Amino acid sequence: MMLRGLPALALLAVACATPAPRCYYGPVGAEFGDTIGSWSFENKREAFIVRCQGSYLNEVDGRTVRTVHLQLTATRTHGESMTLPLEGLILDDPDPASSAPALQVSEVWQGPERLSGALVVLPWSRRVVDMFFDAPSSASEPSEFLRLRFSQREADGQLQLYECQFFQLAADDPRRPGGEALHDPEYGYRDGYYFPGWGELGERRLRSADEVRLFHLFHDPEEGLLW
Amino acid sequence: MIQKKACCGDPESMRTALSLGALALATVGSWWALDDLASDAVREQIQLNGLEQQLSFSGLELDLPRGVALLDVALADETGSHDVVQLSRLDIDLAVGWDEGLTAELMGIDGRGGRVAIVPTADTLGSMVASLIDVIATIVDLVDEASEGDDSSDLPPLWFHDLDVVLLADSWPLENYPGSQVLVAQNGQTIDATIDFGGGGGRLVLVFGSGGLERLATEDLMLTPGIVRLIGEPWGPLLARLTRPQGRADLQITALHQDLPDIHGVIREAVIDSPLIPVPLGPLTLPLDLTAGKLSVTTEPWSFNEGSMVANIEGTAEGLDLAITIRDGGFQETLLGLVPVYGEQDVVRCRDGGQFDLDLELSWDFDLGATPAVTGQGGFHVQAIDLEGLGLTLDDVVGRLEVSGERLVVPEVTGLVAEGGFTGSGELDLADNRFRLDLSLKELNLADLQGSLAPELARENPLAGWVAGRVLCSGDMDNLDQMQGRGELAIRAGRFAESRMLTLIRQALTLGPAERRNDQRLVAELNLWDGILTINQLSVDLGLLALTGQGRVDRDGALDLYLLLMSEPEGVLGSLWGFIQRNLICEVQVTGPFERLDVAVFPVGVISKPLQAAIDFLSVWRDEDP
Repeated sequence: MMLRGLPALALLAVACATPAPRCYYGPVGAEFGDTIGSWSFENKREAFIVRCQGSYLNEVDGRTVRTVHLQLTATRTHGESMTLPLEGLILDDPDPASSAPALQVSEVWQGPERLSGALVVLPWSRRVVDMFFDAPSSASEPSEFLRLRFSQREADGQLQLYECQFFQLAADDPRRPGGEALHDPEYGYRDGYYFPGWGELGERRLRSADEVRLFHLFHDPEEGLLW
Repeated sequence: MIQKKACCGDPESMRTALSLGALALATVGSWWALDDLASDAVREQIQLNGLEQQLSFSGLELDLPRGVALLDVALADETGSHDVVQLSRLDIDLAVGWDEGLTAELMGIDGRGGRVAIVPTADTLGSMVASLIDVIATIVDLVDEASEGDDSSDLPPLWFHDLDVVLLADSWPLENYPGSQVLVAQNGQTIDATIDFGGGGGRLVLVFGSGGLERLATEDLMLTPGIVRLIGEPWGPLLARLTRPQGRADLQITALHQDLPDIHGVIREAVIDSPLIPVPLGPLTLPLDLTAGKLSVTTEPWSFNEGSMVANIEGTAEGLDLAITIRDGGFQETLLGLVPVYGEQDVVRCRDGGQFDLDLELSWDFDLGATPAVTGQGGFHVQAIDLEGLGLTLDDVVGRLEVSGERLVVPEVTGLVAEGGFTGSGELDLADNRFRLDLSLKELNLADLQGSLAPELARENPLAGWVAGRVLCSGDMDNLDQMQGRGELAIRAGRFAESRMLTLIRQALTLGPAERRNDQRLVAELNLWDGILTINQLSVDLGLLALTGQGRVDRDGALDLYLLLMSEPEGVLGSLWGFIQRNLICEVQVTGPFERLDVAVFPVGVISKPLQAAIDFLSVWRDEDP
């Protein structure tokens, strides 16, 4: 860790003086309040819930990258499996005039298991995944709107396309999570937000959990500060 | 299989011209004397044919030259012990020729206004009709001259009008068809007995040849439990029970001499129902084929609850298999009739809504009795399940199930509740109702749970936090008080220091109000045995105050907790030695029912439990000791 070995107080001072940027997003077209909002869709064969944990800086393979973190709950209410190719998970700015490049998903985790190829949801089951879309830290600031596109391949090869959009919560938006410290970093969430108040989360790697979890933790932002 | 009696086995022997020599002699006598004479002649003929046990009548009326009428005719079964046909009047219509021989032609036999009571099997029906034919033959046998050598003669038609046909089961009336009629008539080389069941019951045709009853045919025959018994053992009674007979049958039933006849045709508007089938299947069209002892019924896919369904029946003399395939069927609570224990409990209530797949096979082995072996698998999506008494609703529950023998297995089920979710697996023994359940709760909103479980407390003293845990339990659905289990429960990012019990503890310690902070945590390890919930380890971190201990909750809800209380001005980050030096440690005992808890606090110096408990407590929250 880049913070390891430095006096804790100095580190805290650094952290407070230069808060890392953190952007929060809410779902377009869905009502939400104090807790994190989500986009949802369902038909007779499948259901999806997507929530956006916003964008933050973190380290991947020793490089600092800006990541948009989304969480998807996919439910198959049908007798055949559902396949979501990972290559079909695309994040972009829905504004045609935007110059921001579309991002392909960088990592997808189903609980403690990193996925490759596709997310397969067995018949009559539900799967929860964390999706990380990484861009160089030097990239432009995250756009005002984000669009997630994904596809679902049926057994007969037909592709069903889905998309959902999120908008950036303004600094004065009352639904934006408060700035108070996260007192339970081992839990990592407050009102559904992932490490709210933190703009730089440190190294991204799966953290072991002693208890059953719906969403796992992939960061330990206090790690460098405490020891 | 019925064998037609010899007297009516050869149509040639059934003359259509009747010599009434005896009757002609009587024309010189009085009409009353003529009646008696004719009556005696008929009785004599009945005796000659050996039918005196089966056929009787009270009197005879002559209406010459038009005919003769037998009054109060009774036709008994072969043993002569039970009347199967009772007729008010049996008219024998004649065309008398006043030629030299004074011959009369038998134009027809016409019965009216009686009752037919039979056990509905092919055998008994065949016997009855054969007996009717014997009656005709008896009458025809009065002829011995006029039609001698007349090869063109036909059996005169035998009509029964306005009959009350009663189908019997175990000697009790099962079904009643008033206004029925029966026609027995020569049809080329066969004699056909056509039964038109009154009330739109349809038609049954029995065809007799030289070898007896050769085939049956149904035309738009309304299926009823009684009619289905015509199929005979072993399938008749089973199908009568299984199919809750309903529909109309157009069938040809042949090869009656075999153990199992051949049947071809269609049953329309059929409904298949059974206590082992979650919902009645149908109405549907069942193409039916029974050849060489093998029964095959396969339906076309038909719409079912917004989905589709196919049913297939395969059978032999040894057994019968019913396979049902349902795809994307709309979920209805009535489906859970498949699981008898569902109807016996009042904790879980599924609402209509959602969909399901089901592949179900029921196999009857006739040697093993009427209970089928059940196998199957499927998946389900139930939009809402209410947990009665808890005020909680589980949303969008999806899972898979397997049925094998008497085990119902759910390898995976997930659902949404209180902003979080749950996953689980389990199995249920359908024979003894014993169950096993492995349930994980994931990030449930404590505020939501409190709002459902204790809405009044939620208004007065709202709690917050996120609940996770895992429970393994087993027991008997009929005796949930004896359920056994173990598990762990955690509340994270919580605010529950103002809960009733912790407030009482604070008051006993004369501590100030609890801090309103959202970083409080709780971890508990639990055991359930014989109705007693044992808390092996309870650790509560309220920030500047922490509790650790153990205890139990009795069957009647009484609490008995032993806790160590620690005040942690510097949190849990110091060294163990520093912890002991700096922290206040008290012993707290909480007893009594939840509504009237009694909290006792003991001085630091009399702590009776080893300090290891405090060390263990720290290890709950930290991966490594300082």
